[in-house]
Amino acid sequence: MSKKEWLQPAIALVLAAVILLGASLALGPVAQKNRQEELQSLLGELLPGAQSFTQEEYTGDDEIISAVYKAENGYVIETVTSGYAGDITMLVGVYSDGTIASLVVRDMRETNGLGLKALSDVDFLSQFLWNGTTLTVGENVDALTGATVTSKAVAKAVNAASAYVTGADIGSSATEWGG
Amino acid sequence: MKNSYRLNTFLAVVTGLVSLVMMLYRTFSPAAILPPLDILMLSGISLAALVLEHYLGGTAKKRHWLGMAVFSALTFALLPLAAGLLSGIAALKFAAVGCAVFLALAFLFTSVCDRLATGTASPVAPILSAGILFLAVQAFASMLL
Repeated sequence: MSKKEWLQPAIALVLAAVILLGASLALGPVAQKNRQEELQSLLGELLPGAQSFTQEEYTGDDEIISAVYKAENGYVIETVTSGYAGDITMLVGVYSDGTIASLVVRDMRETNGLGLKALSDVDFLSQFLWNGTTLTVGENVDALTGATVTSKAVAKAVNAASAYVTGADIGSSATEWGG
Repeated sequence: MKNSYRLNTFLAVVTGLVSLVMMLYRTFSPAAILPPLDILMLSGISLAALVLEHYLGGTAKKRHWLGMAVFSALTFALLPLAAGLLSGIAALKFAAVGCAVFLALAFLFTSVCDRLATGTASPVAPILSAGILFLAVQAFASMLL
């Protein structure tokens, strides 16, 4: 018995791996479909008035921008910026004139009670809306209390998205002089 | 005589369940922000396995640390990989860190529980020890940021 003690955890491990792999393969297409549906629904909410979105390839130099979705009246830009505890992934809706229509944090690892407030703090997030100017924390944006790094990361993402649409980002393909 | 590798069986069960729940969340609630697979997650899983081992039959008298290290590394590499939560280098990193965290917590937890076992608090000693160790890991993890 004692010589084959390792069999018990080995069987448990193999069994768990097989169950997970099976579930993963079975649910893979469902997960993909749900992700697409959720993204489409979110894009529609982020840019009011837009009917359809097409994903464009971003070929610029701004490393913050990870994906670009184009609509008739503007863009939704996906950004990844460095926060305090990890990357912050956001979607920023920008009208064709560069004003910010909306923004949402998709993923973050910030500190609970401090940086994590960037997910839902209306006073903080609303500062970015309907704004076409460059946003700077401490000047025209009030930081979240105790979360300056997170606030700066959000402002940086919004600035990058706006710059892409207005052409301030020289790698942008959103304007005729960009790209 | 208790199986020296019972703890690894519990670890596989707990890691499997956590991976399954995360996979289901990702599938049916793609907008949810899930807790990251980091040191805190690893310590939570390890401590849950240690508490289960203690309550479901008691701690093994003798541990084979090398075998435990191999099985824990395999558990932390294979299960998140099978669930599609991690891939490639990230899975290997998770396995290496997970193995170290698991062994350190198994040693500390066993030592603390042995000390508390004869006191009046013995029935709740495993849970209290696990809670305190989790807080300690949380403090340690915040220092790494």
